[in-house]
Amino acid sequence: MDPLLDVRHLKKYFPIRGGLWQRHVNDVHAVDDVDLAIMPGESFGLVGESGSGKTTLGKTILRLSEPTSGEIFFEGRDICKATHDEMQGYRVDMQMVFQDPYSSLNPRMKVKDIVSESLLIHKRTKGRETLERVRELINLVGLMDDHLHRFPHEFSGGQRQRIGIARAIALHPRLLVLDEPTSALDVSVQAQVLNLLLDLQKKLDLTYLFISHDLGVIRYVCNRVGLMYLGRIVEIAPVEKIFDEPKHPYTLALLSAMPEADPDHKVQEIVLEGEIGSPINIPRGCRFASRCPAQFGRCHVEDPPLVDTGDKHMVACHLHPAKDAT
Amino acid sequence: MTTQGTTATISQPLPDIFAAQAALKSPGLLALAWRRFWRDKLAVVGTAVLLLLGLMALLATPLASEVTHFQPEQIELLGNLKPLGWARTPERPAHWLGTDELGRDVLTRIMFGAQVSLFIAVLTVALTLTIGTLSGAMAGYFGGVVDMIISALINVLLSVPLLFLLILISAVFRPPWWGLAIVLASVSWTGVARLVRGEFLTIKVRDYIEAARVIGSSNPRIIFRHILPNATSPMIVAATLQIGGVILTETALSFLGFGVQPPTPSWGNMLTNAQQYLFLAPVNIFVPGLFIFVTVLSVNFMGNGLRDALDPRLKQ
Repeated sequence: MDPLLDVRHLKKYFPIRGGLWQRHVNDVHAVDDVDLAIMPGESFGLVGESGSGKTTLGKTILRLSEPTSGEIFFEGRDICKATHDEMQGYRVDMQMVFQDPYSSLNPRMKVKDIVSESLLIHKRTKGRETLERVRELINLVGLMDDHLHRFPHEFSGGQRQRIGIARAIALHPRLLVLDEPTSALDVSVQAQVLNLLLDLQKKLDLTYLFISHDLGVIRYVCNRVGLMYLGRIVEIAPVEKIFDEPKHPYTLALLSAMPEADPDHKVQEIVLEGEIGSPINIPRGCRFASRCPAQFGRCHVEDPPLVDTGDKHMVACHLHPAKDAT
Repeated sequence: MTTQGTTATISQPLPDIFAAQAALKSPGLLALAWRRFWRDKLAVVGTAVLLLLGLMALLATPLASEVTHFQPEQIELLGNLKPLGWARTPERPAHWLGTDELGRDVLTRIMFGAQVSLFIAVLTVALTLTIGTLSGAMAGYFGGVVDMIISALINVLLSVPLLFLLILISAVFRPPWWGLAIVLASVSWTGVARLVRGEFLTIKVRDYIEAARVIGSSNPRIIFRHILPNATSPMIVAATLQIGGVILTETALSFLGFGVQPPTPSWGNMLTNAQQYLFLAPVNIFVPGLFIFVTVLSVNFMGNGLRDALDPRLKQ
C-alpha cells in the first residue's frame, strides 16, 4: 500500500536576524531532516517535549509555514511544489485541529459561520444545503442544532474543541493533523474528545497525525508512534513496540517518566540531566548525546541515521544498528 | 499504564445536566457592551448632547426659517454687536445670542457653523478610518517591505509639525470645506494606521487565523472577515476621540484664516471675527467658544465610555 502522506528530508529553519541591517545571523532548526510515512487509515502519533518541533512539523506539512527544503508527498504528489491554486485543492483533503480551543475559534463568528466557511470557500454546498450539512456536522460531533447560532464564548472548552473538529471535518478530508487536541482540556473532557475522534475516524475513514506530549493519550489513540527530539525523529514503531520494547535511550527516559496509577508498581526512573539542547546550535554527532545515559565516544562525532532495526522498528541510535535486509 | 482503562470507563458521553441552563440564551457581546456603556452616565449625557448638536446641524435650514427667523448671512443694518436677546423692535424676532460685527444673528450662524464643523469632522474621520485601516492592515498583515514603507511614511508624517503643514497646504490650495476634510485626513490617518497595524500584528498570529488559512481562506477574506471584525473596538474608540481633535484643528485653521472661508460660518472663523471686538462684545467670543468646548468634551466623554464598554480589559 502506498502511504497517504510521505515526508522526505523535510527541514524547516526559522532565520534569526540581527544587527543594524537585519542580517541573517543564524537559524532555529525547528524541523531538521525528518522522514515520515503515514498509511491511509492509520493514526500516527508524534511525541516529543516542548521545543522538539512537533507542532512546526504538523504546520509545515499543511504548508502553514513554508518548508525550508525537502518534499511532502500527499497521495504521491509533491505539495511543496503546488501553486496557490493547486494548494487550495489539497486543502480539501488535509485539515487541522488546533491545540487551544479558546484561541482557535474566531470570537466574532457564530458557530454556523465557523463550520460552514470552508464549504463556502470551496463551493461545496449552496444555500439551504449548507445549513443542512452544518447541522449534520454539528450533530456528528455531539452538539445540538440550537448551538449553531451562538458565539464561541458561550461554550465550554470541550464544546469549543468539538466545534473545531466539526470545522476540520466539514470538507471530509483524508488526513487530519491533530495538534495536541486535548492538552488544553480537563481530563474527563479529554476522554470524551478522544472517543469522539476515534469514532469519527471509523465513520469517516480518516487518517490521523496525532501530535501530543501525553504518552497515555498516544497509546489510547494511535497505531504507530514517532518520537521527536530537537527537530529530528529518533524512533518510529508500532505503538505496542514503543511501550513494550523501546529502543532509543530517549524513549526509555520518557516512558520511565510516565505517571503510573499503581503505587506499588515501581519503575526505575531515568532522570535526564540538563535541558533539551538549543535548536540554534545543533551539537555535532547525536543530538541527544549530551543528555544520554548510554552515550559513548562515537555519539559525539557521528550523527546516527534513522534505520530499520527489524519489524518496522526504526531507531536513530548507534546502539541499535540496522538489521541487514538480507 | 492505566490511562487506557480510566478513559474507557467514562467513554459514554455524560448526560448534559446543564441543558436547561444552556437553553437560556446568554447575552451577546453587543448587549453586554451596551449595558456597560449605559452605566457610564457621563458618556450617555455626552452622546445625547452630540445627538442634539448633530440634529441642530442637520436641521439648520428649517430651524433658521422657523425658529430664529434669520438667515446666516442676513445683515441687520445698524444692529451690529448687539447683546443677547436684542430685537430691533418688540415685534421683530429677537437675536437670542446677539449679533456679530456685521449685524448677523449669532445663533443662526452657530447652527450653520455646526453644520460645517461637524460635517468636516465626520468626513475627516471617515476618510481617516478608511486610509488608516487600509494602510495599517496592509502593513500589519503583509509585514516585510510593505510594512517598512508604510511605517516609514507614518514616522515621517508624525515628525512634521502638523499645524504648519496644514497651514501651508490650505494657503496654497484654498480648499472648499470638503477639501479641508481631505487635507485634514491626509495628515491625521497615521494614528489609526498605527493602531490598526498593531492590532493586526497581534491578531494575525492567533490560532483562528491559522485555522482560516488551513481551510483555504484568501488574504482579503482573512483581513476583512477574520482580523478586522476583531480589531474594530479600538478603532471605533480612536475614531470617536479623533472627532474632538479634528474639530479643534479645524477651529484653529479657521481661526488663523486658512480653514473655512467667510462668509460661510464656522465656529473657528466666528472666533476670529469676534476677537477683534473682544471688549465691545465679549459674548460673541464666548458663544462659539462654549459650543466648541461642549462638543469636544461630549465627544471625549462618549469616546471614554465606548472604550470602557467595548474593551473592558483596558479598564482596570
